[in-house]
Amino acid sequence: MSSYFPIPPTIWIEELSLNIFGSTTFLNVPNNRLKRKIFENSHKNIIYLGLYCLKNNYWSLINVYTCRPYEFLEISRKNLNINNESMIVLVPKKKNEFPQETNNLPKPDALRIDNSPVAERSSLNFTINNNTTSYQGEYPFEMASLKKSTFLTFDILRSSLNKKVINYIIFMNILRDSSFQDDVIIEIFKPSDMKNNKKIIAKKNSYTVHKLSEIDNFNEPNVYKSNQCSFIPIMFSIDLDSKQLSVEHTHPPSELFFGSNKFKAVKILKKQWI
Amino acid sequence: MKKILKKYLPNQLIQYLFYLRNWEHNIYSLNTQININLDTNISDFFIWGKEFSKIEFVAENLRALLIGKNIEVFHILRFFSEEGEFIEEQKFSSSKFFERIKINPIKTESKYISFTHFVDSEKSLKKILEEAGLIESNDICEQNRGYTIYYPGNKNFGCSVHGNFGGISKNKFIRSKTNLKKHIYTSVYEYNKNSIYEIVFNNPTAKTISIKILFNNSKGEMILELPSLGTKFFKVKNYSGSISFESNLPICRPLLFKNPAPNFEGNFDVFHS
Repeated sequence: MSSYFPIPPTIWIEELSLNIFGSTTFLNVPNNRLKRKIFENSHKNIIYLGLYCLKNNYWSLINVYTCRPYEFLEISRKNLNINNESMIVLVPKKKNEFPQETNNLPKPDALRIDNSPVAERSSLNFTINNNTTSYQGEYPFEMASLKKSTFLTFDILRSSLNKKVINYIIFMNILRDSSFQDDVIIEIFKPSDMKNNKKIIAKKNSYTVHKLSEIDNFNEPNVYKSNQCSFIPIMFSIDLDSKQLSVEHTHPPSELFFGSNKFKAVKILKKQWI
Repeated sequence: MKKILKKYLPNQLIQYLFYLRNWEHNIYSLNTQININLDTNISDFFIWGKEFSKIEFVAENLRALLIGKNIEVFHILRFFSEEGEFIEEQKFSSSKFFERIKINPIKTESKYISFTHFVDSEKSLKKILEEAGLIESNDICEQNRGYTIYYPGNKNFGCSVHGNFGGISKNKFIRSKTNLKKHIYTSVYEYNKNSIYEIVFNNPTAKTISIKILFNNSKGEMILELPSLGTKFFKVKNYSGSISFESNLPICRPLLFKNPAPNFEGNFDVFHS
C-alpha cells in the first residue's frame, strides 16, 4: 500500500503569541523488509518527492526534492509561504516525473521491496521553539481515492482541561481529485445525549483545526461524526507553562476488531453512531 | 483477485491460500488466523514505566459503543515483569464508553515492564452482537487497543500513545509468532545527538527473541535478548541518524521515549518508532 506524506498545519497559539510549525521528515529506506542471506539487495533507489498544494482547482507542484538512499529529508511549513491550514502533501516517486498542474494528485510509489507488513510512513512533527513532538503517520492512497466515506471518532486523548492546557483536534483530509474542496459538516455531541449536538464546518482537501472548549465536561468525551467524508483525526495538546506538546492519532473503529469478518461488526458499531 | 476467489471458494480455504502466499511475513500462526470467534479476545502489549509521575490508560468499552449506552464492564490490566513473569492484575469497574484509568503503583525494580488489557462483562460481546443482528460469529474477535498517557514530570500534563500490536489472547495463549527469516525494521525517525532516547521493546510471542540494533550512521551494533512477554530497553546518547532493528518478528516497532522521565523541561516525547 503506498502513501502520501502530508505536512502538518501551523497552529497559532493566541495565549503565547507563538506559532507551532508542522513539518514532515522522510527517510529513503523501506520501513520493513526481509533480510536476505544471499543476493542481499542493498537499497539503491533515489526517491523524488513532489510537494503539491491546491491552487484554484488544481494540485500545483511547488517543488521537487531528491532524497538519496538512507538520507532524511525534512520539509517544514516555517520555510513555506502557505496558509496555515492549506493542504500540502509530498508525493514519493521513483522517477522525477511530476505534472506541474493536475486535477488528480499523482499516485505515490511504494518503497517496499517485499511483502513485509507495514504501512509506509513518515514522521509528522509539531515544533514550538526547541520542543518537537512527533508521530509516525501517512495518508493511505486508498483513503485518498474514496468517492464517499463516513467518519467517526472520539476526543478521548485530550489533556485535563484547565487554563494552562489547550487541546485541539485536527481533521486531516486528502482526496486525489482537486475539485473536492467543499465544506463538510462534522456533528459533535456527548455519547449520553446524542440529540444535543453542535456542528463545525471542516473542509475537504484541507486541515481543519478545532480548539476544544475549556468549559466542556472533561469526564465525558465528545463524539465527532460525518456521513459525507472521512478524516484522519489528530489530537494535539500543549501545556502553556512548560511548552510540553503531545500529539497522537486515534484508531478508526475497524481497529477494535480482528479477523476477516470484522467489518460486519464495524458496520453494527457505526450504525449506532452515524 | 481476493473478490473473485471469495465468490467461488470457502472462506477458510481462501485464508489458507493467502497465508501460504505470505508465509514469510505472517504475524499470527495459521491456526490463530482461522480459529477465531467472538469468544476470542486479544490485546495489544502496552509499556509501563517506573519513572513517570503518573500513567493513565484509556480503555475503550466496546460493548457500550456497540449498544450506544452505558454498560458495566471490568477492565483488567495484567502486568508482566522484565523477564516475562506475571506480576499482578489490576481490575477496574466502569460503565462509561471510555474510562481513563489511573494505573496503581507497581512494586518492581525494573524501569520498564509490559501489560495487557482485557474486558470482562456479564453480558458477552457475542450476545450483544447477536442481538444487533450479527449471524456469523466466526473470523471476528475483539481487539483491545487502547492508549497509554505518560506524565513525564508535571502531573497535569501527559503525552499519549496508542497501543502497539501485541496479539496476546486472554487465556494466555500467545498468538503472535516469530518468523523463520529475519526482518529489518527501520523507523522513519532522525535521532538527534542533543537528545537522550530510551527505546523499549517487548516480546508478544511465545519464544525468546533476539533483536539486533543497527546504528546506520556509525555502523555500530548491539543485541538485546527478550524472553517471552519480557521487556527490555536501551539508551541512545550522542547519536544522530537512523536506527534499524533486525529480528525474527515480522515487524519490530519499539516504543521510543525522547528525553525520558523524570522530565520537567517540556522536551519529552513518546511514540511508536
